[in-house]
Amino acid sequence: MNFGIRITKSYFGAVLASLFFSPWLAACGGNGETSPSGNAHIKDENNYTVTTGLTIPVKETQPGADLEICWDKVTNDFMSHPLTEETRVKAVHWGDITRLTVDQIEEQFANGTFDNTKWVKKIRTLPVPDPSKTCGKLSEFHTGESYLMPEQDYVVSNDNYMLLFASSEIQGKGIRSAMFIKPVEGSTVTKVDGVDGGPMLDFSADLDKPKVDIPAAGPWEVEWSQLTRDAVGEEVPYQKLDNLRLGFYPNMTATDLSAQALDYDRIPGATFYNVAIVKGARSANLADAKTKDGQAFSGFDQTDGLWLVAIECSECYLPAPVAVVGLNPI
Amino acid sequence: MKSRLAILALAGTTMPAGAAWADGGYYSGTLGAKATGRGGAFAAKADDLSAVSFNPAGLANIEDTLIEVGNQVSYNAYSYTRAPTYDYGHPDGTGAFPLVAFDKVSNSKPWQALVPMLGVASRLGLRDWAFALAFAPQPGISQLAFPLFPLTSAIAENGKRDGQRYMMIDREAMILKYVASAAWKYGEIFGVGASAEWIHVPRLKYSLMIDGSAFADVANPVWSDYDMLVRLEGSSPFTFNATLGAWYRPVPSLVFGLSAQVVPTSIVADSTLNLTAFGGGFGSEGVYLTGRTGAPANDVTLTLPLPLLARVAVRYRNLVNNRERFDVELDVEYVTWSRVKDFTIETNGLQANYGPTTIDIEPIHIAKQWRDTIAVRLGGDCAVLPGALTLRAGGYYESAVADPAYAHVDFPGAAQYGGALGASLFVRRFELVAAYMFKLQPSVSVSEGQARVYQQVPGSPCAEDPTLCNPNLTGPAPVVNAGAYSASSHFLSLSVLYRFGL
Repeated sequence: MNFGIRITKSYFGAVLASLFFSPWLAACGGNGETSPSGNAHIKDENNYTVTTGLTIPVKETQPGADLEICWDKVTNDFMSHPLTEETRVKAVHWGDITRLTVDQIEEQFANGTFDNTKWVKKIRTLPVPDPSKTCGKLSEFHTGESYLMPEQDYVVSNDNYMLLFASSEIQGKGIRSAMFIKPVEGSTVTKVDGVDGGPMLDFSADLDKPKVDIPAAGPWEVEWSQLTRDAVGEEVPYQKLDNLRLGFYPNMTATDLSAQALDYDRIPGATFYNVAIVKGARSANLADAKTKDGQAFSGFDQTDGLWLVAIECSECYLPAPVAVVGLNPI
Repeated sequence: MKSRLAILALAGTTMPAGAAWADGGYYSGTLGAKATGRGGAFAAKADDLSAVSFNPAGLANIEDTLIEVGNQVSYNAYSYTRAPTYDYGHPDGTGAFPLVAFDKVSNSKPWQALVPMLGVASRLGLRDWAFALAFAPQPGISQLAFPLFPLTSAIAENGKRDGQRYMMIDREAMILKYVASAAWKYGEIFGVGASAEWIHVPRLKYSLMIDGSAFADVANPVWSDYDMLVRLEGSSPFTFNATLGAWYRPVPSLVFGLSAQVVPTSIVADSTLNLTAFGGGFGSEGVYLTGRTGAPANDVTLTLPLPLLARVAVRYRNLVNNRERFDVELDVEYVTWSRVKDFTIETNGLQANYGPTTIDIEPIHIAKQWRDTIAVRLGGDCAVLPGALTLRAGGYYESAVADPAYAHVDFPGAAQYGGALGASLFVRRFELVAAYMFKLQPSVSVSEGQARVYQQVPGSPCAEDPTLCNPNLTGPAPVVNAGAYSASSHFLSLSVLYRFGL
């Protein structure tokens, strides 16, 4: 049985953000090993697919100025989730992108094809260890011992300059919002306010895919060795997968969930079991999955609702699950 | 998207290995005190345990049984001053690229105290046969170490004091040889011999810096916030090699010698690769390696080709009442260093990880562009006090193994000259041998326009797409081997020979 509902979900544009800023592109993938075990087999045709569109705001400013960058207005991330202490802005990254227009950058970020080795000339970061700090100067941004020099680095040119507001100092990780800043002759603007990430990304997911059969009575070994592409069509980063989330959404259909897709991992009344994925593994056993309270998964005894498995990667640029598939207990 | 991490520009790597006679490429120094005192002109004389390497056929001329124990101490000076270069990665306050002048760097481990040799050769009571077993590390520069300074907030000082960092920081190689030889002669007319060699490399280390920047237009010829320190450590339990030799004595006063190292082989070292974030651009997480399965891994395989070698020698003996008063020998060696086209590192699917990023590490081929060499050696002995004291001297010239464009701090590659003095003191059945050799590589200067050793920047797209290269560069990355090189070595060899069964 397929999911017949399109789930619209804003997502992070992590593909865009992180790939852009990290000096190391997500290699995503690598040579997988085929797991010989498992009795619930996830394949490409079972996985949800995603299409994205991105509109990143542009702020014109004074060229060469030591701009004041503020992020106190960044209160929600790309998924429209309020920022918490854990997800607050802990770093702002600045990047110099060359040879691409804004439209091209937005398109490549949205579909995950942006290659920073081709287009990024320089990255600088402003760490924000103090939660009370909400603004900083461009001249404070640095990488190692190299500091951003606005009079040289932020000048009118064919390059585009981008700010990423992130919950991690690691370039490319935990991006919550973004914007372009553009030096324009004659502009006297020297202050830039970051904005919420939610409105930027138009995201749609198609879960109208065949469900994965799984024995209701067990065993419940879920394997994904035949899964080669993630939700946006990139290679699966097997060695980065770290959590399998089993969710039961009582009295919900795919249609109901689609309307709340942004909150798939926090639907009130839903039950979630999590099992850690061994680094590089291609399978996990649902019998090892537990709730936050430590209650172990005991079977598909609930039938009036939706069973969903999500394969997650906390270090991946794509914060949305790498794979989301429906389960069909038989 | 993936970036290929070529890592190990392991230029040169640590592989002094193999034969005892040539001084270019991996090799340096001469095995045995007598051979050393003659400047290495020993293929025709070959009358002590060094014959296992120089010319195993010479073993047939030993008298009954010979035990030899020796050691070589050396002082190996090697200095390099990188040519001034513009630091395109760190413009000054005006936007101009500073011209950085570098300090002279020198090998900080010049002393090498232990290169022992020991073995035994014997006729085992046979008239025309002789056999030998010997153990000897490869004489040469087993360690080279140059400075490495941390990056500091005083960025104008960064990279100036260790201009060689992107070529090599240090290397160490322990190469042992176990040799078994046999020789046969036909009267006093001619002899043949062969040595089977087991080359054992218990330790092999090499380190250098690479620039881990992965951006368009990247150019950090002096230092980088994404500098990564790469260390390779490995070993090789067994590599087989063999030497064949012969001598011909048409008249008592004239001897021709011929020997050759004939096995086209390579040293294959199972190694580990370690990566450390050196620049501040990586943040607190640093960089780590994993294998294909995602588990931590760092195994690589390093392959270093060994050359073939051929030597011809002619020796004149001045005989008085059938006793040799003095001799003079001329040796010409030809070494096929051109077999060393590159050093190959098979990376076995390693991946480098930084934060959420993974990079495939492709197999690495380090071009050396070495060429065949010719060495001419002239040396001889003089029995000052026959039966009591013999003095010897010698000298040699060896052509350059590397084109100056590929000059490097890992192995001196320019033409070399050497001179030696030695002596033997005979006390009963003992022969005490001492020798001193001086080896000089005259200063070699390489301009940035000539230089062809490039910085390793594995994340740069320049090599694949020249349009993404920094416009200030003329190659895929900054050249890092321009500058002035000079090297010299002092060798002191001592041997004790004990003959019995006379």
